[in-house]
Amino acid sequence: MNIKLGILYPTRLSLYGDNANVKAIKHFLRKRGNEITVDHIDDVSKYNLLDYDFIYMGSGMDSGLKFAEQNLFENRNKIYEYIDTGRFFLITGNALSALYHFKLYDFITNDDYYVSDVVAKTSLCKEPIRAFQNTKYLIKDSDSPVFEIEQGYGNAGTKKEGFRKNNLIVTSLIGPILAINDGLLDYIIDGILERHEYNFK
Amino acid sequence: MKFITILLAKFFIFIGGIFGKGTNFPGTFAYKFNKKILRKIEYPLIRIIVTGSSGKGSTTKLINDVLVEQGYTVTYNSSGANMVGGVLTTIIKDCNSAGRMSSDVLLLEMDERSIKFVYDSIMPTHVVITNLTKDQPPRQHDVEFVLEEVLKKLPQSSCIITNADDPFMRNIEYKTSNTIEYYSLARNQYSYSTQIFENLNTYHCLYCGSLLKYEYYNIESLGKYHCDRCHMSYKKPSVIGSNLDLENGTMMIDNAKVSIGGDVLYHAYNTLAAFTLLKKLNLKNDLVNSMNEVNKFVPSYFHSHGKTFYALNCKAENASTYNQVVFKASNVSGLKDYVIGWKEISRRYVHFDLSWLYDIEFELINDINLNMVYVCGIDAENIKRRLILAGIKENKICVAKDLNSIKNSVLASNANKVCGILNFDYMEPFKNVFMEVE
Repeated sequence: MNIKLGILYPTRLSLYGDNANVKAIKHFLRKRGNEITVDHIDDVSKYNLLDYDFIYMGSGMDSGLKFAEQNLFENRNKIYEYIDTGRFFLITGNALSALYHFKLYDFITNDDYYVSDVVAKTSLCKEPIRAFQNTKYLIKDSDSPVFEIEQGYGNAGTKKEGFRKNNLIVTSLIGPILAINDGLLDYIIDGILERHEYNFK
Repeated sequence: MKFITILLAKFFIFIGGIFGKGTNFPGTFAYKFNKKILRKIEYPLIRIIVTGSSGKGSTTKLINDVLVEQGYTVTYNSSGANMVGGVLTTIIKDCNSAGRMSSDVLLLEMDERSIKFVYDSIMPTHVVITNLTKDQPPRQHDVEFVLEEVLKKLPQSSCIITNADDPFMRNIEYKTSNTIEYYSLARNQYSYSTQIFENLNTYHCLYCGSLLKYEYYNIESLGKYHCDRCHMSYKKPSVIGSNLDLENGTMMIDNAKVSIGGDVLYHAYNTLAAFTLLKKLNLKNDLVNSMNEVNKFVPSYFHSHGKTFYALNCKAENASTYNQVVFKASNVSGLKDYVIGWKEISRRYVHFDLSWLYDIEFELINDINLNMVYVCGIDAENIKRRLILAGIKENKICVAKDLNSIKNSVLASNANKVCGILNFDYMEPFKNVFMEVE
């Protein structure tokens, strides 16, 4: 299969080895015999998002996040459409703040950073998740969290972390979470392949 | 109160000296006991602080060595204790009970996040900022955050010395009105014209946000840049290093050949930082002579067991130092084995964050000259995971618990070159294992 992956604003949002998530998907999809294209999406208006099977947006500095927030909002219809069609969209770390205008979830901003090793469980895979948090932003509350936190910070004041809608997965966990969590990576890869086949049919 | 604080701190320094400890505690105690103690000291006329994500220790040492060679007396935190406690210990050690320092120069290597606590007391005449790059993410978060920390409370009278090749450092010019002296490394035989690194600090113009264009790169985002859309362009520096020769560890500055002390790019940048500061001081004797006297060339390689070993020093949690070393190693000719590892990542906190490992461009070593990569130490499996994503075949990666256990394999290998990409805590063990004892 020809699978297309997109990285949103890679020159502005690449703080903590984030691009490794796409490298991991690319590597293991290729290992399963697929052809992979990776595009750097610097401006959503110039791309047809529905061409993509997976889009990733990682952590950034304040200047990068501001740009992302504005560009996403200006192209909100494309983003909503992408999410509604069930394509995979992973957002990690402080990039969760860039969806501010979408009103999908509230988040809290702290003056200080939430820094912690993370051990968590998720219904997406059997294996426990090991990751890291280093962020000023946490989701405030969510009816559809992604992780059950055993160690680390959950959505403000809870032990649940993240937000999920269809295959949009938003988490405050940073960096190469797919590259270091095989179970979660397999879940995403299986999902991408299944979804691609469905779309193709 | 000042008198008592100094006497007590001096007592703790004395006691600590007996046990071979006490670089931090006496100063920390003094600071807690008397919050105003830093302001009560009578400092020398020349007060220099060196900070940055990497290279600050080496740069400070070089500045110290040149000043001492020229006959100046220098108070310098050579122990590397670079937070407020360590700095205050150094100062109290040197001053008399009335708080008067006797040296000609106060020279301090300082942690980027601690510097704001001493600015208004020490009022540095010069602040050298070697660089600000991704470093110790659990503590430093990101470079925009660290820049704010470094500039917080910076006295307007301090002259800043920094790197013109790094567009991120140009932020200082937009955020302060201080005098800034820049240094730069001109295009050289190791420069390249197409970006080979991902995950950089700066891609965009600080004014208009357009992607910066480069005439050449020296490493990562360091090079000769400009913005096509607005007026941001490379700043003319006070000091330019040219004709860089890493094989012999030299470059030309002001028409003179200057030793850079080593053979990795960061040696050149550290030398430029020190040289620019020292030139600004108008020293009594010839600067180049002193520089060449104290900054003798020490190559990173040694010959042993019929092979050439490169012991390349990196700083854990700082992808930029690794990238410089990976770049150098990738340019070593011939069939190569690589050894990558460390004993521990950080002594400052207990967090386990290896995200920085994925900012290192290990893809550069994945070429036909790669024979085998030996990954060693507590995070060997994690390094292997990263290398696989760099496209290195699993059968070319050997996981080992320590350096001793790979010795026989490395010595029996077909490759005649061995590049050690090592955290500083693996430098000595690497040499101990592979250097033949005469």
